[in-house]
Amino acid sequence: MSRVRMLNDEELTKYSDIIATSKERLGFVPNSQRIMAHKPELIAAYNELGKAVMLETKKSISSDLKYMIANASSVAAGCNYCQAHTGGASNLRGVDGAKVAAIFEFETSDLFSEAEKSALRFAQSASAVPNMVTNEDFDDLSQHFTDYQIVEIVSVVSMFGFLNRWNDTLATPLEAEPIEFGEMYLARHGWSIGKHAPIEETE
Amino acid sequence: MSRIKPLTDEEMGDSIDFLRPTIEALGFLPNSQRIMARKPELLTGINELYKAIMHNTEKSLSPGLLYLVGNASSLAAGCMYCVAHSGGAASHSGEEAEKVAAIWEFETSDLFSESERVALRFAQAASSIPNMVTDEDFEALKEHYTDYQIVELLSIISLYGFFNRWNDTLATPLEEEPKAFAKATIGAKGWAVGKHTEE
Repeated sequence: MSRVRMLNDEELTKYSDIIATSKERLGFVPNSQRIMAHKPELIAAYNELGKAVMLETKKSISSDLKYMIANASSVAAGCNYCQAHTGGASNLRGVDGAKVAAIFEFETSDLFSEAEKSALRFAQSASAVPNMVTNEDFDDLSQHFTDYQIVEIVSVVSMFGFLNRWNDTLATPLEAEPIEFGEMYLARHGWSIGKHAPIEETE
Repeated sequence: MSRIKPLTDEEMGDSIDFLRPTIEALGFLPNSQRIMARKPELLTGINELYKAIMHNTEKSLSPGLLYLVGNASSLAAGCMYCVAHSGGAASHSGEEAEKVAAIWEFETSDLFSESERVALRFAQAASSIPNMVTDEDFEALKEHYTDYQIVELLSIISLYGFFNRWNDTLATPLEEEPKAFAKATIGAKGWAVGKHTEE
């Protein structure tokens, strides 16, 4: 159930330009943003930051890796809403659902390169409370990534620091597309919809 | 020790210009932002989000309360860099240093009203892993705050979700001003600079 009322399509009309990029990335308007829209400045700026984090320059890591990092980070924080979203978004971009599901066992799966493993391990440690990242983790990352790319990796982990708190606190109801993805690929690894089940709004 | 070197004013070049008001208000540019500056779009994005969340409308909560909530949140996540910064910001916004220090015992301190306690309790639960917020917490919030204000509370908690991961991962070196503030107000409570030192 939604703990704060979600704005409906009609109320969201004036934000359609603001949320266009998110909608394109995910394939639908995320319920998380229907709640952010209570404060117009928040939904606008949140979307700008999202674009900046995902912005791919010549020096960037791939967007596929960014989604994998976001996914590993959300698994570590235990936000099932974010996990289904980031997994579904990877899949929509063409990453095999089996690889998305293999993030649960990336250390031993041969679907991941050493560089990917290093980034995913880092994402897990950086999303734990207390923070588990060590200087050695940075030494390891530096063997695969530039400082610019490490800043990008930390920015994705941090963006999901925002989103994990937002969605797990609100028990944001999950939408149809990520539910389908979660049930198809993630459920057998222990994922469940839990408190993010959609419930008919009474208002 | 900094794990990624913060950029100097010179290295930041023109990208520092839009931050002049921040520098003027704080007296310095936070090292966290000097690291973000390595990707200029990121630096702009986070500053815009920060402004939006602190944007004070007639329906808004006071900046002081928002920073106290950010402080409780950072304390729950264990990021001592963010604890020092948000405590300093609460103090700049007019909250007494004594009250910032009392966040460590807000449940029993009579410096806090019942509505402030509800907000701080919410911040703690929302910043735990796994997330500890319940439907009952929302019922308690709704007795004191509008939906708009609850969105504001959660937006500052989530913003610190970004900052807590950013700074505790990077071991961002704490600057002199917030270090002095934290030592003086919460040093005795158990706050320590830890890994956030310059060397």
